[in-house]
Amino acid sequence: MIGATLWAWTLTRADIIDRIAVSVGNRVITESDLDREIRVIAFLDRAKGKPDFSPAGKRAAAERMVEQKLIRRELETSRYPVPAASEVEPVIEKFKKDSFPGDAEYRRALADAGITEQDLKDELFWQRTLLLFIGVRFRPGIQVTAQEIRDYFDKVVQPAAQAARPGQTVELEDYHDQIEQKISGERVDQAVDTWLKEARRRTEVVFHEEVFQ
Amino acid sequence: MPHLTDLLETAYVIMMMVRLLLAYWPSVTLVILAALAPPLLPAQYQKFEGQQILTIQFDPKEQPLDPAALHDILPLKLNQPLRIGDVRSSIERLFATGRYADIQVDAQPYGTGVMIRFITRSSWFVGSLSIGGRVSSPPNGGQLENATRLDLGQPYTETSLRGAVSGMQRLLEGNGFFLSQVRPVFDYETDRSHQQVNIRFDLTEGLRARFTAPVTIGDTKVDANQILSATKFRRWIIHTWKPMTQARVRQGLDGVRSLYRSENRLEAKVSLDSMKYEPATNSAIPTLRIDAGPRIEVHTIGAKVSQKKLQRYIPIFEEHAVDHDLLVEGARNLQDSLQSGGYFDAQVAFKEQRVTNDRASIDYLVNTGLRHKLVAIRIAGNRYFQTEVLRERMYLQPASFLQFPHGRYSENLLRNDEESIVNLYQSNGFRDVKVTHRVQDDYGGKTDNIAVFLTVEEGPQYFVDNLQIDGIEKLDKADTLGRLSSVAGQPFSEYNVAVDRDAILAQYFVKGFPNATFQWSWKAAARANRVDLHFVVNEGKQQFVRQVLASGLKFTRPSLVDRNFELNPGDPLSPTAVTDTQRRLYGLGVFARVNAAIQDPEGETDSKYVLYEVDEARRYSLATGFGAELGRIGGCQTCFDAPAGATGFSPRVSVDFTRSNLWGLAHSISLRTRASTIDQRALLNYSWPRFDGRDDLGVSFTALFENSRDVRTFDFRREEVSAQLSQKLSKATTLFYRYAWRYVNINNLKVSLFLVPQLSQPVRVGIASINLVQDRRDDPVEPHKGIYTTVDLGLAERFLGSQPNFMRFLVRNATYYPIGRRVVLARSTQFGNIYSFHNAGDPDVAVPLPERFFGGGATSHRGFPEEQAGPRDTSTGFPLGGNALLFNQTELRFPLIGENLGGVLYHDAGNVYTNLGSISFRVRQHDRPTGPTSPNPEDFNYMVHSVGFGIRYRTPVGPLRVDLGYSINPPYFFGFKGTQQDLVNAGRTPCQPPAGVANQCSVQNVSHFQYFFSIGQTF
Repeated sequence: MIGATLWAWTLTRADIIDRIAVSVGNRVITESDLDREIRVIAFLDRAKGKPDFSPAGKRAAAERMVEQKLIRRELETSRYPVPAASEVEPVIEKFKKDSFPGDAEYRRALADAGITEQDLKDELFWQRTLLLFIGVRFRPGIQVTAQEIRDYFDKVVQPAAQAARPGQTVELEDYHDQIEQKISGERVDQAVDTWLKEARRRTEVVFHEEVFQ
Repeated sequence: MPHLTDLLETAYVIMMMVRLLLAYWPSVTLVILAALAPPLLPAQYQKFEGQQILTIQFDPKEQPLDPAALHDILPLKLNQPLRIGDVRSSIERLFATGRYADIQVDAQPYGTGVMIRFITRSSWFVGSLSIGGRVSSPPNGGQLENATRLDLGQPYTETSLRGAVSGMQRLLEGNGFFLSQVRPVFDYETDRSHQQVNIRFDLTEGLRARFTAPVTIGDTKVDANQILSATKFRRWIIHTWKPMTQARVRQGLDGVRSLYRSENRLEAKVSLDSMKYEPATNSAIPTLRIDAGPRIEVHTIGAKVSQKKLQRYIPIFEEHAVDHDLLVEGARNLQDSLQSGGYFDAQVAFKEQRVTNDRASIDYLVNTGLRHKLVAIRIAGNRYFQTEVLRERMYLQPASFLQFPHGRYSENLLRNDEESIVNLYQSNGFRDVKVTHRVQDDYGGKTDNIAVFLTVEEGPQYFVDNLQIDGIEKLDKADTLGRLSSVAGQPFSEYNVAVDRDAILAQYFVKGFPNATFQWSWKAAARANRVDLHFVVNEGKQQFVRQVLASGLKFTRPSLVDRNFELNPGDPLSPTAVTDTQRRLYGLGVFARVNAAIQDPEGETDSKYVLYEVDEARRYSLATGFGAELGRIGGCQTCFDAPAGATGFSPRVSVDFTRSNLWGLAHSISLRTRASTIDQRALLNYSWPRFDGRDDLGVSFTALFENSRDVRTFDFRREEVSAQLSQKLSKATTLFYRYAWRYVNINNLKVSLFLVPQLSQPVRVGIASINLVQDRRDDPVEPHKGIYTTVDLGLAERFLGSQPNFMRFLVRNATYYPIGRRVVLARSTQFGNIYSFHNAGDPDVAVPLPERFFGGGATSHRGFPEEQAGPRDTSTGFPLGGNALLFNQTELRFPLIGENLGGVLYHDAGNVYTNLGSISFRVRQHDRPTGPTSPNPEDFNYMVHSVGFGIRYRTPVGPLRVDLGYSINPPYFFGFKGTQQDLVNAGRTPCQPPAGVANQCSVQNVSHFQYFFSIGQTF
């Protein structure tokens, strides 16, 4: 009888269906946002296994989403261009083709993962938006001089190439574009990192710890 | 005692219960765990997903937002299926309002559907800040409040509080209070809806630490004692350590930098590395990081330039750094300096030498070229703008005596002028305008004279063919169009579009659209040189005032503040109205500081709280002042010599006491006293600004006691009470309605004895007057254009409590005309008349002496010393004043040297006359006395002319003024060289004394030369 009473209580009690997990300025990440993010990321990277709902997994996802919020706010306030929504369609199609034998399997996998196709589209759209933002906001300010390319070639590429293929001559011209891309890529990463740190310093970010237990 | 069977039965029952419990334990545990453990969200919301929402509740019931606003905001709606996306959006929307710190949403079965409950925790916003405890300045209260970095109306968070406390702590430590403690005390205004928390920071500051000898690290290259001496951390001679303050630390570092600079170590880096506190001795040990760098000497080769000029023009001295950019800037500055001195071809380059033996030198190679004079600027090709219009915008100036002896010219200035002309044309639609120049040397055949020829190619003027505006929905589009410059038929320029953008956005801001945006584009129209413009306005959401709140009131009545709010709940949230209210509150004169803020401006709500935090000014103030007068104000006090005044000096002291904000209503009472050797006065004034709640009205009551001999003819003691109502009719025009009652006693009259009985009577005057002031000058301190007029009409009559009956009329009108950019022609005319009526005897004499017009002096006629114009006593020569006056002053004000020194050429004409009928423009004095046989009485009713030159030095309080004048036709008169007794002995006609009495009359005159010192323009 006690068990029945408890079962009845569990059925009729109020359940928390959503709440604030993190506030970023006057924007929030809710617990359901966090849940969806973990599921979508796990779905996209299914090789790594099931979604990680552990406290550490949740916090890692929350940290990612805080950065997203900061960038989204910058996109809104500074009116940076965003990609067209239609750009996601071919990416989804490719993902489906590469990962599932057919549409039915794809739909079943989405249902099993507890997400919708729109959730997946939103994630992929965000990834494209982020790339465009970085390209527009940070890449134009990055300069790589010829001397820096030469130095990198002398210090890194040439010794590695000679170690790999002793006796063969290595020309800078063969690696010039790759080195330039690598150096500028690293600098863009640094610039993004610095900007994110500064944006976060200027923004009140509050983690609601009860969500991460 | 129980039976065994009973015991066994009991034991069985207990055992069964235990067994049952044990049997059910796993399932009970599971249920409890299931109930208590936080299961994954999907399981929870999926249970309710799609169920109909039958009720939405809030916990607590009192929410920061109105129920209507909540209903509008929430995507969740009653009788709709529950969707987790809507729940998420609801949380986001609620949180975005800024009024919540935490939101959870729970659901539970409710009838055939589901009940949704929002469990919320409200956020708080920063209200008034105050400092508690004893604070030894520095830091003062304002600095401490600033150090909190907490702004009125901003969200209050734990992080911001931590920052505030650490900011204050840093400031206190920076001022030597290393043991200080800061404890915040909160006053949550829980009974009100605006979620404001007032914070008082209670300080325990402890003892201020004292400096000790600084520790130096790095390459100092200087003796430690020299560094210590440069810091001035230790007192001179007595050698005790000074208490630590931020200012002293800064001065100490500057002192060390100066030390290195004096040794030419221009790259010396001096910084405070750390400040270590020694509790045992309550001392602060500064560690200075010093990198002395090499000695750097700066020389010029090719021209002699003083070190002072080098330090002024070459920024390495000020920046404490030597780099290529600063050296280039230095070269450019030197070149500009030389060019502005007439060396228009000057070239400056520099050469930097490497450091050897701790020394380096920088040589500026100067080639001055020949010295030129810019004698002409010619502009050709301009049709749309007249040459004068272009010249007004140019820096280039041809040579002129004193101000620009070689003219003003340099390549940079020429380039700037070209740009100015281009900008002017472009802003008027000449998009293709081009301006070129040619500089001609040896102009007019004279060596080294140069002329600049500017040629303007105007090109076609572009006009707006059609203007299309989209997006204006909530403003009156026709009204907006009426304010724009870029309408069809008007010149097209980006400048005009920018003006239009500002006009449109300003209109939106005033109406509460803070996020309104403006975009524009243009394309060529079908017709040549015509464009079609397209403006797009994105209005954004309109915001309204939820409530206006004031905090910080201690003595001031809230009703006084409320009356000055220009915003009411429900009004559009206009930033202009917010600042207008702030200005009005400052205008009350009772607040030292008025902070205005919109609570949580980032919060996405349509209605906002507008906050004012005030800091009441001190209610008691005491001001003292010292000064002196120098002029023709001297002479014997009891004898008759120097009736026209002798050079005198009168020191002056003033003490003013004011009690402001009486009754908390912004009324004030003040006592102003002034004492000098010629005047003592005390004035008690009660002031009631904004009378009857009206901005345009003000009332004041005044009591005055004055003992003066500023008119040299007599001493008087005046006791006066007056009441005045002022009414501001417009920004420029004010009316004053005034009633004054005064009792005046006269002593030490220096006039003919037969006049003494009449003129020395104490007199009671009750006078009602109306005074109009119209001020349309561009600058009241130093006007360049505009008109200033005052009209004063008064009536003294028996029914007003007056003994004499008279009407008094005085009008003054001044106008100012700019001639070019910096020359002003100014003129002022003053006319007045006193009409005596219902008085027995001579109406001219019936007007009491102190009520008559006296004139002459620095502000009315510089051909006379102060108050020396007009009729004089025929026996003693002292001025008697008159019943009419006419003065006209004309000045040409022009620049002399630089920006601050100017000159004035003036002509003053006029006089004080016996009466209206005796006003004359005649320039010769009739019956001018030349000797004892000359006719008596003399004539003073003629127009005296004076010309002169003045110098003005511009200061923040107005120009310092020195005027030197020459009176062309000063009055001549009989003066009496004897004593009071001699005058009695000389009888009724002292200049024709009875036989046996020596004639002590002599012909005197007002000096041809007059001088005046004062502050402010003449008029």
